Amino acid sequence: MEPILKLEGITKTFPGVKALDSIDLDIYPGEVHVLAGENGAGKSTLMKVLSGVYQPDAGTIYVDGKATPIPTPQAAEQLGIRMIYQELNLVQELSVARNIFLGHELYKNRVLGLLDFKKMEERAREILATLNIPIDPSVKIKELGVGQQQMIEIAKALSMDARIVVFDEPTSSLTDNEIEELFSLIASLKEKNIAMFYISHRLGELFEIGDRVTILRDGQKIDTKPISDITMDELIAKIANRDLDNLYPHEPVAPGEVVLEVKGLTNEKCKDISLTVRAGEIVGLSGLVGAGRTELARAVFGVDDYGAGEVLLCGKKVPKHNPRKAADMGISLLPEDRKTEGLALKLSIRENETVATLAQLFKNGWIRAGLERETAEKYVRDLEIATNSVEKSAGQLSGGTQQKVVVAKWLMTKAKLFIFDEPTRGIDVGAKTSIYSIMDELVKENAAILMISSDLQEVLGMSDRIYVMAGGAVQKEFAAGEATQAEVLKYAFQEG
Amino acid sequence: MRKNRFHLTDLPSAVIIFIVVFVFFAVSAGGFFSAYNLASILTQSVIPCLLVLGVAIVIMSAGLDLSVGNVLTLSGVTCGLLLKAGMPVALAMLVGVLTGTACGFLNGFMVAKMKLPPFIATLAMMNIASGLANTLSQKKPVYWEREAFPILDTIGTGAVLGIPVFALIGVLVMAVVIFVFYRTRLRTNVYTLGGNEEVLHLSGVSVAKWKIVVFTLSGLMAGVGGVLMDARVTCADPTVGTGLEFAAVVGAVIGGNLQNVGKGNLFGAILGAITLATIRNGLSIMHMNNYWQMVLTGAILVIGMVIRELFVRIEHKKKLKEAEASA
Repeated sequence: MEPILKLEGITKTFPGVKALDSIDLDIYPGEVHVLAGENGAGKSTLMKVLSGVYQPDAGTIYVDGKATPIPTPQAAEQLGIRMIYQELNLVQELSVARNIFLGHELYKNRVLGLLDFKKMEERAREILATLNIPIDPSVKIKELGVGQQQMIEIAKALSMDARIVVFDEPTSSLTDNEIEELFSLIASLKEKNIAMFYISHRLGELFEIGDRVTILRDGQKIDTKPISDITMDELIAKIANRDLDNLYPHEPVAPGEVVLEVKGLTNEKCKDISLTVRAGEIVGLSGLVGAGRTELARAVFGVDDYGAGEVLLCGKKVPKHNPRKAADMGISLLPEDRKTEGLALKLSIRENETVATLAQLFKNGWIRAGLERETAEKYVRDLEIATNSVEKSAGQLSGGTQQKVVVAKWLMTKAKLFIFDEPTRGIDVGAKTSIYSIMDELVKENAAILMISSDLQEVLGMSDRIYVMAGGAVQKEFAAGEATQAEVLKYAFQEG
Repeated sequence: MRKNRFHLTDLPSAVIIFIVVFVFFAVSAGGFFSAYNLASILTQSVIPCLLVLGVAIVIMSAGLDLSVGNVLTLSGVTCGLLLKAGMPVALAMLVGVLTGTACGFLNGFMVAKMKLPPFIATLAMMNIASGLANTLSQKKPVYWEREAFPILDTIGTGAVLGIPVFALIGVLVMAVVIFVFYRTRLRTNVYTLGGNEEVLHLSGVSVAKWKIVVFTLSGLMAGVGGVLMDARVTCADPTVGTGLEFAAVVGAVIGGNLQNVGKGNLFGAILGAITLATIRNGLSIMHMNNYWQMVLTGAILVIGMVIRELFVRIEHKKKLKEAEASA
């Protein structure tokens, strides 16, 4: 049999990083080809090349044996390539049916452009029925839960003839039941000879549904093998390729006073959460995407409101919904998405570093440029931020360096509690290690750290204690050394 | 299974403002609540309503159009000069409308292709249109031979079965726009542009093309407004549209059309425009001068936003309570 699609020597460079380095890959009709690799390994970039979002710097794409450039998403669509993105691409204020047919609406009268709402709803109903999705097509997307929205995303991709479907982390926010439904859906697509790429961080899934696996690491292809020829341990070793002990330098210190105490906190995403963090402790908060961890952090810091429950810092009540006050009391939140929440990309390193602490640094309101610069430079030295000047704009830095600037910004606040939300997502191993040593330094100086992370090895390697969240609730607490990867995963998959 | 529900945030603040304003004038302005005066409010609303439709669609697509007032003027002046030169009336009006449409297209081109922020692009167009209108008219109202074009008087002041032709044409144009908006791809694509234009791109729809469509439509409305204004006031005044852009933006906003929320409400926009016309009418009955109208229009914008924020908070509290109840 001929491969339906073949990639040859695909290379893509972004400023400062080679995202894809001469990748070869092929896929056959009816095959589920899984892509495995860490965050930043190049899986999503590769799929974006395939779907016409990115143009490769070098390399050729063959469709049915013919060299076929894919210059735009439209071109990919015409070739029958469908993407199911990790982020949801739905319009909240429109109905399910309108979303499914977005961009290829059905018409009552094509010349006048009159849409056929009835037909679209009927067709949507049929599509949803064949996929066993019990959702009314006239409902607006905003009324649906995340899992349901994900199913609509899939229905949308399959509403037109599809030859190659790419699933990019489709299960990250689905419940077990929904995942099962998704898998039976994939099985039925296989029978229709549709080729599928499947990306997931949940390695167990790959063995369940994959035919072949390709492992990517730092933009390079490590191996392609039939999934039956590889064990989980081999797979993990190929993905990570490193000695875990060396990566996580954490040395526990004797914990002190309770710094953070959360009692029964409840809001839209969090269900009755109680936890504590002591001085000198790194507490890991593990769980799947959508488990409510980020929402908990936002509520604790006062960005989001909550109903029942309270938050205490060193025994004093932290007011609800007041980040300004939370920061004054000594809480720092290093947000998950540094590009939109943590950094002003056009501003310089200096400005980014000092923006949160200007009022502390210059009590009378007048900024002394010299002192500001010295302070900024001190942190650049301490954190080994790779730059020749503090005046360089943050947008020019690599992901890891940007993350260090965000860390510097919050270190300056000399907070009692640091909440790190996915501190090492998308940054390279070297930068990760230095972020870890900074965290270690912080707890030695008696700060308390709450670390949210989806990287299980990171949680296991760095935490003194671990809370596992699922479905908005804390499912389990582990002491250091007590937890194993399998144990943590077991509770992470539990639905509250 | 989930059902569509009513959210307070879907209610335009214009509804509340209109009720308050209407009751206030009905009680305190003698002669306000008469059939004759109410009809004249509606007639006075025709042109603001046309403009507000275009501007509302631009705003809900995450754009902004500040040029509509002066583009209306330019369209009117163009049409007036052609009438003065003796061009057949239908052709002169068509060219007037096309002038506005072309300005709208240029706005769209600047935004979609030259990547100018809508605020800058339409601010530029606002000045260009005003400058051209004043140059072409030599800063004086343009008069044409009225007797030569009786049809214009019919449009401006005539009536069919007791209904003003002017209002009839306005309602007809509005109906067409609303029909097209809700019955074609326009609404889907405009909401998507406003909510997250990346989604449109990934769905294989040209973002640039639809941005141009949206701005062109707004220019078209200003063009239609311009020639209707000519018929109404029987001359083309180079200052007639000044300030209309602000009324259109305020009307659209209090009508529930905001940037970057990915939704909108054309009926709300029309009510917003009628609300402002009502205020103008009521104040003039009470012998308050023009400048008080400006003060009040500005204040209404703020009040409208405050009401909306209030709705957002109430909805948010409701959500929190539901979440607690289910936990």
